[in-house]
Amino acid sequence: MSEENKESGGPGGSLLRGLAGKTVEALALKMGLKPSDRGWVTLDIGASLMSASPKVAKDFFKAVPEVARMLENGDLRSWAEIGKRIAQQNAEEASDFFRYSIETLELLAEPLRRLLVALCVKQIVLSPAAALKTFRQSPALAASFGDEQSAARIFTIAVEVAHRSVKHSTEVLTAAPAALTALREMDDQASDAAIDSTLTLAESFAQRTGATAAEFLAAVGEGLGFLASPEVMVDLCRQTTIYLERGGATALQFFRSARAVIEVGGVESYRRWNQVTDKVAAEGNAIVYDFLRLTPKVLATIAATQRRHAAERIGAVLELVEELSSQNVYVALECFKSSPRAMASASLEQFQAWAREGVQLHRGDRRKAQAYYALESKSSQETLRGAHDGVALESVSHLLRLYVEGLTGREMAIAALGSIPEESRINDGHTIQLPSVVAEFGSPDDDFRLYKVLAAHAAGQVEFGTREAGTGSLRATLNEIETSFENAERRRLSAEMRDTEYVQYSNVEHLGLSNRRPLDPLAFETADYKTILSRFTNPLLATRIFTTLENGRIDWKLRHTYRGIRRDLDFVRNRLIERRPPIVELSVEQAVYEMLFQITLCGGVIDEAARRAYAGVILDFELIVAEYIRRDGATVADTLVATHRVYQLLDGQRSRKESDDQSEDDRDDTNQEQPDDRDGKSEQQQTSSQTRKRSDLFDQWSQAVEETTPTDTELLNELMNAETSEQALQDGDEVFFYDEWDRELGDHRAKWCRVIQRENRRGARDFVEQVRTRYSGIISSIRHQFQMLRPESLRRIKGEIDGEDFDLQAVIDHHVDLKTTGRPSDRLYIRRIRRERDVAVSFLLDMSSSTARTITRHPNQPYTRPGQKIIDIEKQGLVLMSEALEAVGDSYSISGFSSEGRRNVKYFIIKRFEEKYNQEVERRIGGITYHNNTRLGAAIRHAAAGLERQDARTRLLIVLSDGRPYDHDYGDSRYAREDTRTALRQSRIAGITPFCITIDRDSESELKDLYGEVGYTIIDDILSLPERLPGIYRRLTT
Amino acid sequence: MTESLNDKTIVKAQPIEKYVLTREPYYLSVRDEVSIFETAYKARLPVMLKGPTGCGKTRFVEAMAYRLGRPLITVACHEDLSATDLVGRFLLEGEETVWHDGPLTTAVRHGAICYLDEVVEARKDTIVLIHPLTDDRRILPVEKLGILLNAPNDFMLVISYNPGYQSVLKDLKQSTRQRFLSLEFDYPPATAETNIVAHEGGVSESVARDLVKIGEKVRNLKGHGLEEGVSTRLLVYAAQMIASGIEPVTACEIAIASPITDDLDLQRGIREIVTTII
Ligand SMILES: Nc1ncnc2c1ncn2[C@@H]1O[C@H](COP(=O)(O)OP(=O)(O)O)[C@@H](O)[C@H]1O
Ligand SMILES: [Mg+2]
Repeated sequence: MSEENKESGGPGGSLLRGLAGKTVEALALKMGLKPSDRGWVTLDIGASLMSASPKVAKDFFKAVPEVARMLENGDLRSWAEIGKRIAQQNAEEASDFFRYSIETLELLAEPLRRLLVALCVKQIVLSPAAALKTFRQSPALAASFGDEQSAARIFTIAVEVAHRSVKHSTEVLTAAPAALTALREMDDQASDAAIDSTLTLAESFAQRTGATAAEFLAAVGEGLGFLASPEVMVDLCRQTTIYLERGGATALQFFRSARAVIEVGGVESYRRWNQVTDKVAAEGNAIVYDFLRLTPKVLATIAATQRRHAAERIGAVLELVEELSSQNVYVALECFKSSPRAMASASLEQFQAWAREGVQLHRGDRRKAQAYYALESKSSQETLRGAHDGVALESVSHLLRLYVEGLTGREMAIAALGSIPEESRINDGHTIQLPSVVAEFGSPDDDFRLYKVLAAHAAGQVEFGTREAGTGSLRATLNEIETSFENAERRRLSAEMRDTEYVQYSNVEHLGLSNRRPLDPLAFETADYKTILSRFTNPLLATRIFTTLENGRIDWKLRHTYRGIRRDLDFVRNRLIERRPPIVELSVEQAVYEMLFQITLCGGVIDEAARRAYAGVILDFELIVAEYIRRDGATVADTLVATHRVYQLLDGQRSRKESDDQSEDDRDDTNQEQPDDRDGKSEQQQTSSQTRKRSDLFDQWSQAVEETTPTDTELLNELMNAETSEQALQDGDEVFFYDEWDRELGDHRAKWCRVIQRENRRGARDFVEQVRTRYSGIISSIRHQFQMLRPESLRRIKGEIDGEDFDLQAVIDHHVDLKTTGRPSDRLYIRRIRRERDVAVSFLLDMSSSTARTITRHPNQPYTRPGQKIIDIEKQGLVLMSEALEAVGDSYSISGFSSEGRRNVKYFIIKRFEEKYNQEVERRIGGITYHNNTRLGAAIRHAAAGLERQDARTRLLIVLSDGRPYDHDYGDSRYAREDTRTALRQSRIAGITPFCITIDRDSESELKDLYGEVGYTIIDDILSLPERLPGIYRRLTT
Repeated sequence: MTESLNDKTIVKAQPIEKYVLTREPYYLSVRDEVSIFETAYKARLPVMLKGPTGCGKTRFVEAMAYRLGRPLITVACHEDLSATDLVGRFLLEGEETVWHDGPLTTAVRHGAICYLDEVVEARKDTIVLIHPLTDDRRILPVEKLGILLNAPNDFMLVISYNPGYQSVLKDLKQSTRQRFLSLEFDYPPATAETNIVAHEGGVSESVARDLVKIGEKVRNLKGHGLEEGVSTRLLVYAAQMIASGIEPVTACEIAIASPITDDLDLQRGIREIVTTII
């Protein structure tokens, strides 16, 4: 721009170009600047401005005399510099700057002027726009800071920050007003002290790191309503200052976390926490920072899961952590981290005992303590819940299926929440979704009762017709609701149109209907609750109300149809009541839903205070519930009518509120910050709305049927930084959980591995055919050998009391005995009995990526004589082995495995025991390929579990592996080895004979360690595996 | 009654009095089975009662026999039941051989109702024996005596058959089944069954209703490892246990869950259903 100005050479430009200093001097004089004025110092700037734009220079000179009165020498120069910088960017803005300078500065108190210039000079270097903005807004900002002194301090902070970051210096200014407001709102008398502390702290932040000062002020500005008194703030600031030694980020985190502690746990908890923090801090910066960051998360989770008892329990946790930290800080931290999860499934006393036991046991070993507190070890779980670690859905799903099928007389499937794809998460009348584990009450019987209640509810939906469609009453309800919404729409539109000019040109009727898409007649005939809910103007709201009411109806029906289930319903309801959030803590809108929920499912509103506060609404709800829900013969259509009533009630309230507020848009923004929101309530609303989003076991009853809900466990897992994510399951997958041995722990990690059983993918059948052709000679001899093993031969047993033949030797002996001792044996016969061969064998194939290695006898001729992949050699071995097994007639199964972390151990079925060796199996053999890692222990456990179900006298488990077990979260190699060894040992205890065939020659000592207790063989020449495999098997079984 | 067929043979017919029903059996008619049965009786047609065990077939025949004023001779069929067992045999009594009428012969002679319960259990060659009685000849050949007995008009043959077993070995041959009218029986509908359980078991109507509800739910489990649903008879047993002071859940355990299955999961499932209802 300035360039352009020069070139274009406007009239002023050509006039002034090349003006000598003298002329400038003359000009200055002419403009009334006396040489005695300090203004002379600005003359050179004026001159340079002149060369850029005479207009700017003119405005500059105009302003200088006035400005000079307000600024000191140096500041005056800086001020001029600012203008000059702006001019280099934009002449227009520079002119403005000079013109507004006088009034801007006049509005500011004396000390602020200096500071403002100092700040802008810093800012201008990086961002003229920022500087200009600061300058312009400074009077307004200063006014909003209240007293002059505070304003001066804040500007000073901003200047300090600007040394490092212009952006943050601006943020200091913008964050400050809210911070000051928050501080002043606490208490008129004592707030000065709090303001002083806060600003002092902000100054320290500014001196240390700059940026954090702005963030600190912003944090203060978020509201301090939760602080009991300004003294607490003073104290908080003092403590934070101490943490400044450790860096701005740490101190800031301290402040934020402390704030969170006070907010959810009160001042008492804060003091405890502070003690702990000090102890943690003594261990180092990194750890204290971790602890600080973790604190709000942990507390929020406890608050979310403990609801009513949140403050009390948080207090208890902190007390305990403080106690533990005096013994071992690291261990105390682990305990703190795990506390939400532990608390979720145990009583306070159980939790305390468990926590103390942990530090007792693992004081010296952080890793063990971690495992203990992460509830990974069995002994830990047992300590926590007295040998009860909850009821897993798997262990009861068969029973529950029988139960619901009995109740409903329909085929039902039980699925774990979250183990099936999102879209089918609805309880569709065929699938009942239940939590995968219930560890709620501390005893298996009680936990099962929760499952039973949830299942009964789901069955109730089927039995009592939640999904019935096209009934007369549903159609009538649809009609009623349809008409009601159409009328409402028409009224709304005509009201709108009354004050619109073009109303006369429009067809109101037509417009009135156009907003609602017409209902398809077929949909009318087959209307179900979903059809009807979709006809509400706000289907989401309607769905939410409906879900609660319908569950209320089912609950009532269950109680009245089945006497016995009432005991269980009441038992669970009591827990439910404990878990409801206190209504006073909810926003009005949430409170309304909550009350509806409590009325329909908890037998009434729990809080006394809420009952009084909301007496009117409560009465309305109770009437609706009594009229439509709690009566004989109520159907889903009645629930829908009730839904409509409640909907209208809420809608009415809402529109009334809207018209009161005169709000210009019709969206409902209860969470919007209200200017009169004095006590930081909006902040609270936000957190509690997040809290509500977390589902617990019961939220199935209040949340929209189709809503997908993240579960508590997700949150907890995140908290525990669970390392492995679970892969999604495919159709037909079956899931199993197995313990894993942790050698350092000296204990099993409970249900540590998730094994996904899946049919192996089908490949080409050719593979098996080709192998058969290639090995045809060998196959026929194998067949012959194995047929010999068939149980066709009869075994002769001598010395029997009875039998087909005399045992000649025995007869002779008898004769001799008779003559000599006189006490002959009467076992004189030979008997023939069928020899029984009763063998079941499982082949377990390592399908990890290491089997992709190519083995060749001719390493120098890779193209003409390529080698073979280990996996292909193994496959060939399986083909020959199958031929042998078919010949001998033993019962056998084949499977393969690979893994991707402990939650994704894949177990591929190639042939089941009960399957024939048919084309399907042949294709599955053809489809064998390599994937990922080798979590051997889990695979062995799963294979052994399958074998245990076979009732053969001899049960064999043959593991075909290329070497060492490995998985990314399978510990070090010793961990993996010891787990594998334990798995093998356990299978032997269960009556299975494990045998390992491996091809890894390199590490014989490790192999001995691994398989030493059971039989194993190493195949040197892996290419010979196919031929050798049947021989090995024959030896094993004869 | 003793008579001589010829000089050597002494024939001993069985007294019929003990087969006459003296008290009216309690039977609650469920549909039109009573009138159908009467019509069949008048038309002298044999009847087959089809249905699961314990649903009231026997009781029905008893009630009908009383109603029609005929004696009722019931034979529970089993694998070892031979033709001789049904028709009769010679027995040595001192010096003499004495012929004893079997139950079928007795029924034919006296014009009684003969009820062959669970007829598939009998051996195939035994079943063939009834064929000439079930067509328009209505005769019973007594080979050992070398005579043909003509069935009087008031004789009636009734068999029962449980199609639920679904085993090839226990299927009634077409040649047999196509000789009978067939009356389908099933567990009585809930209200009727409630009355039956209350009456037979001596419990209040509300207890009976619960038991019937349990029955209904447990019957839903047929095909999930349960061969057959719980019978009305077992519900009556449960009621009787309750009536004599056994705790209801326990009564259901011993009269329902345990008798119908050995599968522990199923038993537990049934128990959960029981505790849901009572
Ligand atoms: N319609 C009915 N009226 C009266 N009692 C019945 C009826 N149906 C079943 N019962 C009861 O059930 C019990 C078993 O019936 P039963 O006739 O022995 O069964 P089935 O012969 O079909 O195996 C009877 O003793 C009786 O108490
Ligand atoms: Mg019977």
